[in-house]
Amino acid sequence: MTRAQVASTTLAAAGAVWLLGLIGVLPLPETVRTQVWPTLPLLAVVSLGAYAFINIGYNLLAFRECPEAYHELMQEIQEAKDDLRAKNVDIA
Amino acid sequence: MSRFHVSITPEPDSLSSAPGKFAPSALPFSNSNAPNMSGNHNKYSVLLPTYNERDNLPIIIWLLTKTFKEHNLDYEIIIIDDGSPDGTLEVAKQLQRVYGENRIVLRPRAGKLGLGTAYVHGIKNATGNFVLIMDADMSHHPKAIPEFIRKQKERDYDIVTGTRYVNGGGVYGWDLRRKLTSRGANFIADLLLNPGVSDLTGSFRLYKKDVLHQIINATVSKGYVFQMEMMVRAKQFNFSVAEVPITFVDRVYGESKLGANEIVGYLKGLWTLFTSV
Repeated sequence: MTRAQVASTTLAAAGAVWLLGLIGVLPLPETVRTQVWPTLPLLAVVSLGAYAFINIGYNLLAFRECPEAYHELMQEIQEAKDDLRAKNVDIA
Repeated sequence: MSRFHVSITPEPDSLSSAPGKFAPSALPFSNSNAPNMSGNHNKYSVLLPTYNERDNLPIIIWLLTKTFKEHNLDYEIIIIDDGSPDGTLEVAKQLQRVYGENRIVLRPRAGKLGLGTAYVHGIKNATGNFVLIMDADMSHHPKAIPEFIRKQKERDYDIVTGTRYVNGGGVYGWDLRRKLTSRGANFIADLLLNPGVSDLTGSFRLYKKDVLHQIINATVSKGYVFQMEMMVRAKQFNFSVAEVPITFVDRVYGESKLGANEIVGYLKGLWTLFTSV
C-alpha cells in the first residue's frame, strides 16, 4: 500500500462517516447534527492551515545561522590556496 | 581475548607506512568480527560528482585530505567529472599528482549524465567499506566527517545523514525567501512522506557501501529529488538512520539555482514518491 493509497482510503472512510452523520444515520443530538457536523470538513482544512502556518512560522523564526562557519571557511580557503599554489596546482 | 588486546596510540602515518608491528595483517585478531579492537580498519570512499567545479575542487580536496589525515582515517576520493568544459578534470589530475593516485581516483564521464548514474559509476570500483556523499562546492565541510563516523559507530547505523535544521547545525547565506522556501518544502515533505529525518533534501551522508548500492538500484528520480527518494527508500527497506548536525555555507562561488523550475520539479518529485512508496 502506498502512502497515497493509505491517505485516500482514510480520507474516504472519514468522508463516509461524515455523510452518514449528515443524513441522520448516526445517533447524534439534533443541534450537533445541524449546526456542528456540517462544519467539520471546514474545521479540518482550517486546522491543517493553522498547523502549517505555525510550524513553518516557528521554524522560520528559529532558523539557525552559522556565520562563524562562514568565516572559518573563508580563512581555510585562503590557507588551502596558498598551500596548493606552492605545490604547483593551478589556483586562481 | 583480553590477553591479546593491543593498545595502539595513533601515529601520524600508521596506516600508510610500510607494514610494521601495528599493520592490520600482523595483529592476531584483526578481523571484522572485532569492531571494538582499537584502531579503525575501515576505509572511507568519498564520491564527488563534479560539473564545472574548477575553483572549488582543489579546496574541497585540501579540506578532505586534511581531515582524514588529522583523524588517521583510511580514505579515497573518487571524482566523477561529467565532461566539465572549465578544466575541472585537469585540476583533478594535478591534485592526483600532489596527493597520490590511491587517494585521488578519477572516474570521468563524457557528458552530463545525472547524479544517480554518477554514484553508480563512482561506487563500482570503490575500495572502501563506507561511502560518503557530499557536494563539491564547499557547502558541506569535511570537518563534520569524524562526527558522522563517530555517530555511525554508536549503533552500527546503516546511514548517517547531515541535517541543517537541528541544534548545532545551521545555514549561512540564505535570505528570508530562501529560508521560507526551505521550511515550506520541508513541511510538505514531512506531511506527505513522514520520512523520519529532519533534513530530507540534504546530500551530506555516510552510507555502508552495500546499503548505498541497494538503495541506488531502487531509486528512479533525477536531480536532488533523487536524494529525497534515497532517504524514503532507506526507510522503506528498514535501514537504520541517524542524524548529525551540519553547517551549510551556501555558494561560496557561483550562483544559487533555485527558480520556479526547481520548485515545480520538487513538487512533482514529492508527488511521485507519495504515490509510489
